[in-house]
Amino acid sequence: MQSMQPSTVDKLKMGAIMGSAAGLGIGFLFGGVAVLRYGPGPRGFLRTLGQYMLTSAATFGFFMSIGSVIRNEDIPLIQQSGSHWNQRLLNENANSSRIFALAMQQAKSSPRKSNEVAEC
Amino acid sequence: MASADHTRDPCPYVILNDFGAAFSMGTIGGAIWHSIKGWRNSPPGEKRISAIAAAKTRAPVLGGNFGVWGGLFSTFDCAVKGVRRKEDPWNAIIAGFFTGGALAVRGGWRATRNGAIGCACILAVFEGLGIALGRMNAEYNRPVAPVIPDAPASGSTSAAPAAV
Repeated sequence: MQSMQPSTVDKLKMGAIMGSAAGLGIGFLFGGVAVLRYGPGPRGFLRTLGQYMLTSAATFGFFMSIGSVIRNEDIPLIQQSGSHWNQRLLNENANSSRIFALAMQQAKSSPRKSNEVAEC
Repeated sequence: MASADHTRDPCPYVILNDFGAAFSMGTIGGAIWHSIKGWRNSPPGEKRISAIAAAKTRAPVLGGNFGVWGGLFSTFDCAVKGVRRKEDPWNAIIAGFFTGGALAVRGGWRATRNGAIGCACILAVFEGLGIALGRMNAEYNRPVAPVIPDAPASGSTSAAPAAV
């Protein structure tokens, strides 16, 4: 028997989970580099790095949940019953997350540029 | 290429698909985010108008940024696939490297280098996450041999007298 199609809410949840996990990794990476280069600041090493990771995870989770719902199409399920993480859904999420990761890095690296564009 | 990824559109159609998908992600996310922001930064009585105005002005900008990044990444991804003739995670990392470098090129060579390396690192994190989730998925779906219940011992066997 085939398992049920993942609903839109399920895709939203899975996108948020994957985005948060990826955001934690990226926050750890970039936060670690920032702390090593500029110092931990007044709140200490762990709190600064933790804030980097949490902010990155929240942002990635938010946008990736939207991306998962946008890429919403019927997926032919040929796997066993009870499988909720279909391989194709994983690939779709991975692709959405790549796009989002690139866009987010630009937003972080050049805040003034976005302000200039917004004022036009 | 024999091992093409059948879950995605083939090149070059995937470039248009990713342009649209990335633009939609940025626009929808930006509309939600900036409407909440406009709502909170307004005096009472003008909250609804300010939320709508903020979403209308800022969401397309964010969508455009997302679209440029998504489309450019897919373009480089297709180019890398065409050159390497392979399908593996390195395609995305190399494409991310080129995309980061291309979009930071106006800031000089130092910004170009940092943007390229940063984007490659981000794509490496995502590829690692995808591989890890693929492993978990395979583990979850591993076929298990059915457990055959033991055959019941027949009464006649136990009741048979032992031959002397």
